[in-house]
Amino acid sequence: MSKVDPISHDDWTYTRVLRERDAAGGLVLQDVRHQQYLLAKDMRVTRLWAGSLIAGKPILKDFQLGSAALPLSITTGPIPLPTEQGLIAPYHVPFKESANFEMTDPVLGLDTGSQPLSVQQDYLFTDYGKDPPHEPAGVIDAVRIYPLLSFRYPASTAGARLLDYIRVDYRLALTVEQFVGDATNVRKGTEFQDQIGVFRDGEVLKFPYGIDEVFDAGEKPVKWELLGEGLDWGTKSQWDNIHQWAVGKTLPETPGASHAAHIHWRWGTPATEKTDYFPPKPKAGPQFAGVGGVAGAPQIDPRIPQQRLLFAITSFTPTPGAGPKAWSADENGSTAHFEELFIKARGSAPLDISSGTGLVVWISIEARRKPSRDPWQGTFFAHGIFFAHEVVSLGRLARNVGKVESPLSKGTVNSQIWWRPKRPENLP
Amino acid sequence: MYTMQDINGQINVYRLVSANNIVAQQDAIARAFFSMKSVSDGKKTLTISPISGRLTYTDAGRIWQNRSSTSLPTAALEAQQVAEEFLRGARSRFNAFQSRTKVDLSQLIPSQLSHVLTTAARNPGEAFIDHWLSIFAVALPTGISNPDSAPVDAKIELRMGPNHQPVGMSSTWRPFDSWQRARHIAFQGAPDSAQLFYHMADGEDPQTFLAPFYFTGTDDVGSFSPASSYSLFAGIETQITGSGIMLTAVTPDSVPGPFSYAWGAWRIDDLATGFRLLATGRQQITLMGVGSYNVVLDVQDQTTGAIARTQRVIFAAQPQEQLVS
Repeated sequence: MSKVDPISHDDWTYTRVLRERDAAGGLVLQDVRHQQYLLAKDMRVTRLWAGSLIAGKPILKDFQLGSAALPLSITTGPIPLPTEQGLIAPYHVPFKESANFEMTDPVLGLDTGSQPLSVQQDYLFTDYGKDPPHEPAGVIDAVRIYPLLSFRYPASTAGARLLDYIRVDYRLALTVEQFVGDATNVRKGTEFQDQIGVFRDGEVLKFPYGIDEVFDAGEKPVKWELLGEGLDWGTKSQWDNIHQWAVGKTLPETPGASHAAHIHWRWGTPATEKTDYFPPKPKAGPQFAGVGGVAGAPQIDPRIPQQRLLFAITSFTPTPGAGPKAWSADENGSTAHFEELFIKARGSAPLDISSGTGLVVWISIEARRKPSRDPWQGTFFAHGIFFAHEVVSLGRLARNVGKVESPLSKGTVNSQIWWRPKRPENLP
Repeated sequence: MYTMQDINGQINVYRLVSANNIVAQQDAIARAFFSMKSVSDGKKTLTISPISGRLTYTDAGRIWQNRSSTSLPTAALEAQQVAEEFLRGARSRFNAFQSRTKVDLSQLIPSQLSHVLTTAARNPGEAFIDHWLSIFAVALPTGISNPDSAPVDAKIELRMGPNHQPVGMSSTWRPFDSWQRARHIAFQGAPDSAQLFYHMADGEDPQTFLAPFYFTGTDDVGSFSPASSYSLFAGIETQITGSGIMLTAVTPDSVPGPFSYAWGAWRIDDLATGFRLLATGRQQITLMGVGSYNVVLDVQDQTTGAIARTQRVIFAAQPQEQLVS
């Protein structure tokens, strides 16, 4: 069963699809626009996994939001966050779409002594602007959307199997609009031609520096479909961020793409350091630190610091039969081993996506803890997504700043293989 | 870029119309701009922010609903002319009305508007365009000799659909009703490396004066500094302490204050708590507790009345019960 509602709230418009029972999937947002600029064709959580992996024979269960095993209990939205005044001027609070899901059976199985799990899915929408700063100079205008997934698990009783693992898989069909001026000769049925880049920030930056020094690694644009690791159980790994933009006359400026979707889950230490020499970074600082205000740490919920983030970038063709069925939105694709969904469907050779295509970003975030009878709760995707939609960067025009539009291939491999730079050694 | 006689002189600062005064005219704006009966008319909606006064208009019955490219300009230049004609007409209709009111909203569509770009907008999967998007920017006189005008980092985005009708508009521009001369602050560095511009606050942030700033650097590394005694901005510096993360409000040295402060926050990982006021009157607070916070700081210059708001996301990890000390 699906309930479909067109929503217009603040400057956001989208179609809210609530999927449950035989058409499970939870809260899905489609055709997401801010101030009429397209950000995504479809955003959803495809699957939630829960397990007891450490003590005893491993148990791993998967759930679709809204399914019989994880049914919908409450849905609200769009509603602004509760607020109290008292600032010098009124504050415009973000708004959210929410859906709660409550298990009735024990999460790990009937005879495990485990408890039912509570899950809350929120999409949080903020205002457009430079604050909070989106990059260390604080000059890029953007809006933020947080596709949050929170879980709450009560204390365990003696003798029960202990929940020590939660994983959430996202399918984000981001679509950044392609403006083509007078040329309207695009074939009917084609998506916007988007490109994507992945980067890992450098940890030391000495003036003067260029794009090669800003990043330890980067693929701009990503050449083939890609599997990568973003966090290795709470510490940095192969990649720190993903940027998606529409094909244009040139590549976007890097850093600071002004019409692009940006997903940063970690910033390098230099993003937190103000500099006295030219050019300084006035908004560098705590905005770009991670857990505990520590430079270079991941920007994740401090209550679940042990997180691993894996991601895949695939092409997307909406025409039925044109792409792997397992990747289509309503399949809610997710496999026990994240990589299987992609390698089995496509084969060992990922497609070339470098010149632009429709894209889907798949993000899988795992949280683990030592076996414990204590309650456990946390929220995934606390870093959010930010979307800058400056077709022409007025800041750039106004300030006559330089351009950094060159491609980048550093710290990766120039081979048509899925895992780049390589498959993490600690994956099962 | 700046001559010595400017540096010790004065520079233009523009007093913005309060949002309340713009909201009070919302039905008149809706009629004059978009031929609406009121701010909500069928599928047409005009929204005016009660904080900033910025305008947003959408005709949900027409935008992204086009089924062919007929009735639309075929070239960007023609589309630009259509957009400019619409803005001229809207300004003329509204100014004819508001000349009878006490509030000066004559700059709601600024007279110093310049065209930046016109481009075709289409739905994904469609071969024809839905409407034309035109972007306009503003530059204002500085009152100094070089440069004699400076850009404003605000824009008006107008989306014109079939039959020369607007289907969407989004403006970060806020009108001013007067201007005054303020102390011109010299740029601390090589003058040629700085660009003068007027800074418009974020779309939902408060602002009382449109004041000039210098910008140096590139998009990802750069610096703002005040160019007048009204050019207030606020920052937040942090220090990890044994009891939490200490947050300190910072303001530019060249704008001496004194200042009023107010702090608030909402949690990304606990939306039910909502936005909470943390402290007022203090330049420094300590954020405690475990969680992902969006911290909001307001600073007001008690001398000039200029106000600045800034926000930071803080991932706090101190296991304390209390939120602030």
